[in-house]
Amino acid sequence: MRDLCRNFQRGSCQYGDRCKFIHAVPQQQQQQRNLNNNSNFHGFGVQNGFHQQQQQNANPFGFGSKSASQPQQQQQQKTNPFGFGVQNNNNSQFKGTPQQNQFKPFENKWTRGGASRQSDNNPQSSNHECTDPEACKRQIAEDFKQEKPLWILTCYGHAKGAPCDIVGDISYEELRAEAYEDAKRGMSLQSIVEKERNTLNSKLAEFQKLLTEPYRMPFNPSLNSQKNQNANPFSMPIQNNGQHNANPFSTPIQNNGQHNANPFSLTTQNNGPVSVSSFSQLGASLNTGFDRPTAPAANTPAQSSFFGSGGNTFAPNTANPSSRGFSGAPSSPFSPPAGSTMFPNSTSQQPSFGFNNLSSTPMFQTTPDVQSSSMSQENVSTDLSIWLKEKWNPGEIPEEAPPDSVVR
Amino acid sequence: MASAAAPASLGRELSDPPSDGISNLRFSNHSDLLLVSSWDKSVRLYDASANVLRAEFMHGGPVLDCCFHDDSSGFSAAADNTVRRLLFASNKDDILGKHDAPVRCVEYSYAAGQLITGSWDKTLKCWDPRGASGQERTLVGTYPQPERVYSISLVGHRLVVATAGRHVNIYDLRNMSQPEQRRESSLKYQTRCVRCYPNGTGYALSSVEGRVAMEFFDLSEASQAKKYAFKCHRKSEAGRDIVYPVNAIAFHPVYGTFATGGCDGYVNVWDGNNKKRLYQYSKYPTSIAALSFSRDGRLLAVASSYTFEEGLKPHEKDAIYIRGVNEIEVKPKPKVLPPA
Repeated sequence: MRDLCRNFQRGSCQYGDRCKFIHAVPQQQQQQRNLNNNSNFHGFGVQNGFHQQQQQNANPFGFGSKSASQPQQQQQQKTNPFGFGVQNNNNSQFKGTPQQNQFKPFENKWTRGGASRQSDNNPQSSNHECTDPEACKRQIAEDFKQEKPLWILTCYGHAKGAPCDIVGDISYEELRAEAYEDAKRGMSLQSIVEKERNTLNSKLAEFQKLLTEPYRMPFNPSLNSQKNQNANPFSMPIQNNGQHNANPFSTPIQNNGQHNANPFSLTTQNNGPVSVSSFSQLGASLNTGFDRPTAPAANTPAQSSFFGSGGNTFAPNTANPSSRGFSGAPSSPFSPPAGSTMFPNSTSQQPSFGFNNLSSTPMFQTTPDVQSSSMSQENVSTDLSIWLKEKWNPGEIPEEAPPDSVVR
Repeated sequence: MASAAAPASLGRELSDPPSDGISNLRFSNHSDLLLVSSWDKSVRLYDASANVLRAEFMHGGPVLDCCFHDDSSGFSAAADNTVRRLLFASNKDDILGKHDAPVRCVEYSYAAGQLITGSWDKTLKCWDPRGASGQERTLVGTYPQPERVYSISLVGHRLVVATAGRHVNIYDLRNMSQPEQRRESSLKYQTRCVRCYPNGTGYALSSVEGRVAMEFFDLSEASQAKKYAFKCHRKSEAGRDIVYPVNAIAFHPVYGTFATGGCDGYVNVWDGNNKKRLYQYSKYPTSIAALSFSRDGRLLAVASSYTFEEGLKPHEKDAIYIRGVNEIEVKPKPKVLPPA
């Protein structure tokens, strides 16, 4: 039986398919090709979780010291300025399809973990310029399809370093604080959950709207192209009056400083492993002392209908009056989190946190984002010379896998 | 403490934990005292090594953040809009001042000798805690922010403020009249947490989209070229990705590597310079709400406490685990360079 290739363990072997040693990690020789499903697309690998594995597993990332089987990891880590075996793709000698690269267990991809080259971490996203609303729209569609977070009440900006397209985010602490307040006021568990659900739905509708409507940029003088700034029939400019009435829930919790009993007193704690959060005591003991202030002056009456009225009653807002009136049924592709929420991601790879460590993809960097008002120009891809360079400097490493023409 | 359930791989479970969610926890800079703030309106002081509760302070509303001043006192930020000073020995607290909305973050700056708080009223306030109580005496300044403040972090003379709407303001504490830099987050979704690197060159920012951005203060091209972002705390299931928020970031005081905790219940340790993950701890029962390394980096406190990212629902009980940290988990691995 042939030996395992040490370079491959290390993360890169310049011989690729031609190599006379076996390209596989120990204990996984059979499953090499299947590993793309398990590859750790975060790209970090090394030890997952269990001490006792240290000695056994050849550390495929070739940190050297731990790996029992491959102590010396010398040979040409060529052209790897970052030292993480950035390998195959940059080596023009390398034969083999790009597809094959991705199946290598600890491959250090610099695309953001995507299985396909046209992955979600498309080069566009690294430095998107809002010159073409269609492109913006595509970016948005891509993001929503692949990276929709579990948390619904988030803001969203499709271009990094640029203002949000969807504003009025709420943190879960704010949601929780409001729920606790409601409970204190005597709202039933049912209606609290209902209220939360409404908030979620209205936010989902905002996202849906952004996705389906032609993209209109938020008004922002710092963006280059103003030419796409059409009058938006839907836009409801939201002023931020600058007062300290940021709280979308509108009723600051004040207290005269007494030490009040926790209304959600969880005296007999959870015996079982699962407990409803403090709302379990809702029926009882809602007597305490959170003194409700009279509504602060800055609150509009509409605030009380914050939940469920939909649309932009999210008071906090930055300067961009970005649109998004609540338009209609929340028929969104994303289900509310009541059930298990799964968001589509076509490029997913299972980062199985197993110990036989699988792929490592490096943390890949965003392209430099100069902090001036204009987006920096980035030559996104047609410059093939980048692939032929011997050594990359930080900041110029391409984020996508190389095109076929240079791989051959 | 013999809680039958907690497997040793999670660490030792702290006795007498708060009765509701944990909003933050911090180790002291001088000892293994641990300060814990909770949604049950309490701030608790533990001796983490001895696993003993030493003091408890009740507030008028859920406590959203806490920090040490020294081993005899600390500060808290609560949803009843108050900022309080906590005196450990006497178990007493007094109100240093108030905001107009829940106070979300509190940090004490040794460099400036001031307490800094951020609130959902869209302001940052600086306080001088040596003064007598009462806002007139203690408030040094109020600084408006573009949005509600979600997270702040200090290093040296620099303060980083992350707000709703993905704004980030960077201040020099010596001149708070205006931010030194105004940025938008490099990530696309809501910011969860911001933490400065111990070496003072930049900060890590995490969001709800299972990503962390590594940023640098220096605006030169060379420095900005080093910035990057990485995906983490995601799970692939049935062909799709579940994208978990990253709630907590904690830097190891000695090695400069950092741990992140997410709503997936995992704690990962990363080497930011080499761009690699160093370790992943066993999965915790529920979301990781907060993380803190002890001053020597030998202990890691993990708050496994549902953070409401799916709204109101039944959840695992809230617990704090203190785990010993092994060097292998946090020490950067040396790069193996090719032979010349």
